[in-house]
Amino acid sequence: MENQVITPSTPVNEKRHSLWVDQLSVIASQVLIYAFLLFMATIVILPFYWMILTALKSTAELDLIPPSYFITQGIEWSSLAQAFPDWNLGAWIGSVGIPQNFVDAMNAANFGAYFKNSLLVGALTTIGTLVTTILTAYAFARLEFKGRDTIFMLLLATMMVPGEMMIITNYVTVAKLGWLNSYQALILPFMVSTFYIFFLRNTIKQVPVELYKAAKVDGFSDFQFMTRIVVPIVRPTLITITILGLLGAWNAYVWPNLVTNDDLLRLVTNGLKTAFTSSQGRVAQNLQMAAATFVTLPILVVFLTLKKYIVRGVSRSGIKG
Amino acid sequence: MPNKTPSQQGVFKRFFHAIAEFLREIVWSIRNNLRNFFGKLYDKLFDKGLWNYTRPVRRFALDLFARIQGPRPDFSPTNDRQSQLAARLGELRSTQYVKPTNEIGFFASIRKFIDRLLTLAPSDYFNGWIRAGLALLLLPVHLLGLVFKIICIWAYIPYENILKSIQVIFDKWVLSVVVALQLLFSFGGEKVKGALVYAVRSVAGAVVMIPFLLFITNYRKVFAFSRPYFYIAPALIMLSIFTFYPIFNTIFMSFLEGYSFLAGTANGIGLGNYIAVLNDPVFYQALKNTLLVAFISVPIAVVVALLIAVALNSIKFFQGFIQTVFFLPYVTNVIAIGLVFTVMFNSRVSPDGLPYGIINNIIGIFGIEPIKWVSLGATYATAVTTLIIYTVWSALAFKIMVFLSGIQGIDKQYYQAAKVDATPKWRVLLRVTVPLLSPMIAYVTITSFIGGFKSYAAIVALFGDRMGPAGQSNMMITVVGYIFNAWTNLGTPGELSKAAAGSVILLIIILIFTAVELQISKKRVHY
Repeated sequence: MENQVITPSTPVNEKRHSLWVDQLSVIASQVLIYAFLLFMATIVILPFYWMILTALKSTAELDLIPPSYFITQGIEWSSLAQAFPDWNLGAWIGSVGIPQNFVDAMNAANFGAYFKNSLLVGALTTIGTLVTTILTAYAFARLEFKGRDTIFMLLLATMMVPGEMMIITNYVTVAKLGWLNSYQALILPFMVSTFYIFFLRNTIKQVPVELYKAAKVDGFSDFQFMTRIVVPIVRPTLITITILGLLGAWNAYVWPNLVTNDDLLRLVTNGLKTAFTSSQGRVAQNLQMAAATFVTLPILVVFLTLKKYIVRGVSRSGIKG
Repeated sequence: MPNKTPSQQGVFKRFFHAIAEFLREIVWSIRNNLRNFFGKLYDKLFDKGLWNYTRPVRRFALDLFARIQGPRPDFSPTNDRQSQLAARLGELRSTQYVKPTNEIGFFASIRKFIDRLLTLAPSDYFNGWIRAGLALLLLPVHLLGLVFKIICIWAYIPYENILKSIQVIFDKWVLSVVVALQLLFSFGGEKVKGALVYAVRSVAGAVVMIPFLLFITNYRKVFAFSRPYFYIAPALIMLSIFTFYPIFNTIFMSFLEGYSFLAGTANGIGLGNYIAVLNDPVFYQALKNTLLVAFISVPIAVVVALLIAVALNSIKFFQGFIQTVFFLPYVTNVIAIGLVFTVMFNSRVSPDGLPYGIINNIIGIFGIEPIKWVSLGATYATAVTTLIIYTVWSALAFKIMVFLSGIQGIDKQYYQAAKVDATPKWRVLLRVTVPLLSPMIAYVTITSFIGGFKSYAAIVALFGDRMGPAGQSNMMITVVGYIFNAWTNLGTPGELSKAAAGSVILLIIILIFTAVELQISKKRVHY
C-alpha cells in the first residue's frame, strides 16, 4: 500500500458552487488586480514618460496649457555632428538625426568629457573592485587562516557605519595628498566594497566542497582552483557586481561633488546637477529633460538588457540601503 | 686446526672485519647523505618557481650584497718587488711534482682551485652569487684542505710516493700562501687596508645573504604559510586607509576643538562640537526632517511594495512585462529623476491662473487649486509631501524585487492548504504570506530606515544646494545635509569637527534604531 494516493474526500455537506460562479469570482479578482497593477505601473512609468516627452517638446509646445500628453507639434531635428562638434565623427555617423533639444543640451555643458570621465572612473573602479573582491571573498569562503572570522566580522561591522563618517576623513586625506581634482581621488576609495565581498563570499560558499577536494587531488593550487573553477562558476555574480559597480559610478554624486570642481573632471551626474538645476539661473525645461534623458537612457538600456543579473543580485541579498 | 668452526677462527681477523664493516657503513651513510643533500639541492636549483617567483627577491638581495661589498679595490702590482713576487708565485704554481698514483681527483681539483683563489681575487672571474658564496667559502676551504691532508696521512699507511707528493703539495701550499701574503702586503698600507676591508665587507655581505638564501630555497613554505593573507591584503590595505582609519579618525576629530584641517592644528580636546551641534536650531530642523521622512515614507513604501509584489505574483499574463516596469526605478539616477520631479511638480501658472505642471493639472481635474510644491512660496507640508512621493517612488523597485523573490520562494503547500480550506485572499495574505515573508520584511525595513536616515541626494535633487524652496534655505535639510553643509565654509576652523560630531550622532541614532528594530523582529519574525 505504499503507492496509495490520498484523494481529498468530498464532505457531504460541502457548499457546492456552480462552475460559472467560481470562474466569475476568479475573473473579477483578476480584473481588480490588473487594475491596481496598471494604476501603480502608470505612476511608476510616468516620470520616465514625462522626461522623454518633455525632452522632445519644442519651446512653443512647452507653453501649452494644459500640457500636451503626446507630441502634437512635431519634433525639431538636428544631427549628431552638431551634438559632438569636437569629436570629428564621420560623414555617415555625423548625419544621423537626433532631436534639436539634445544637441542644445549637449552644447550647454561639456557632456562629452563627462561621459568619458564617468566611463573611465567606472571601468577602473569596477576592475579594482572585482580583483579585490574575488581574492578576498575566495579567501574568506574557502581558505583557512588565523583570525579569518574576526576579520570578517570586522568587515561586516563597517557596513553599519554611515558613509559620511568615512567621507569626512577621506576628504582630509585626499586634500593632504594633494589629490583634489584628480582621477585617483575618484577611483581609489571605491576599489573595495565590503558589501560585494560579503555577497560574493556567500556565492562561493555554495560551490560544493567536493570540487575543491577533487581539484586538490588533481594537484591544483588554491590560486589555480580560484581562477579556473571558482571564477567560471560564480561568473553570473561577477557580472552582477560589474553592472552594479558601473551603475554606481554612473550615479555617483556626493563624493565626486566634494573632491572635484574642475569642469574637465566632472562625472555625468555632477555635470547634470551643475549645468541644469535651477540654481544656475533659469534653464529651459526641455533642455533640462533632454540632459536628464541622456543621463538616464544608458542605464535604462543596460537595465533592460541585463535585467536578469541585476534582479538576481538584488533579490539574493539586497543592495542599496 | 681443521676442527675450528668459522666463528672461532682468528679473533683478531673477525675483529678487524667488524671494524672494516663499521667503517664501510659510515662511508656509505656519508655517501648516501651527500647524495640525498645534493639531490635535493639539485631539485631546488632547477625548480622553475624558484627562479621565476623569487626573481625580485634575488635581484634585491644581490643589489644589497653589491652595496655591502662595495667597489673592488685595485690589486694590481706596482713595483719591482711585486713583479718579483708575482714571478715567484708563477714559478711555484708551475712547479712540477710527482703526481701520486692514487691521488683522489677531487682533492686535486680543490687544491688547484685554492691555488687560484690565493693568487687572484675571486671577483676577477666570478660574479653575483658565486662571488658571494666564495667569499663565505674561502675560510672553510683552507681548513678543509688541512683536514683532508691529516685524514690522508692517517688513513693511508705511508706509501712513499704519496708522502712525497703530499710533501710537495704542502710545500707548495705554504710557500704559495706566504708569497701571496707577501705580495698582498707589498701593495702598501692603503691597498692592504682596502683589500682587507673588501674581504670583510664581502664576508659580511655573504652573511647578510643567508636569510635571503633561506627564503629563496624555502619560498614555497613561506608562501604556503602566509598565502591567505596575500589574498585579503589588497582589500585590507585599501579598507584600512579608506574605511577603518576614517571611522576612528572622524570620532577623534569630533572631539577636537577649533580644528583646522588645512593647518592640522587644534585648540584642544573637549565636547565643544557636540554642544555646538546640539544647540544649533538647524540641526534640530535636520533631525526633524530626517525622522519625518523616514517614518512616513518607509512604512508607505513597504506596504505598497508588498501589495504590488503579491499582486504581481498572482497574475499570469504580461507578468514579465509589468515586473520590468516596476523594476525600472531601481537604476535611476537620483539627480536626473529629481529634475524630472521638479518639472512634474512645476508650480508655474499662467496670468489667468492656469497651471503648467502636470501634477497641478491632474489635481485640477478633482477641483483642487494649483499648489506651490517645491518652488518659491512652498509650505513645509507641500515640500515634505513632494519629498515623500519622490522617496517612495524611487524606493519601490528595490522592495518589490526583494519581496517578489521572497514570495516566489514560499512553499506552494501553504497556499494549497489555504485553498482547500477556502480561506479568503486577504486572510491568506495576512496569515500566510506576511508571516512567511517576515524575514524579508524585517531586512527591507531595517535597510530602508538606515537609508532614510541618510537621505541627502534626493533633497539636493529636488531643492538644490540650498536644501529648501527658494528663499527658505535649509527648510528641508537632513542630518547628512547638515554634515555636508560644512563644505560650504570649509576654511573656518572647527567646521569639519562639527560635521564629524554630527556624523557620530547619526551613527548613534542608526545603531540605537537598528538595535531596537532587531529586538522587535526577534519576537515577530518567523524564521
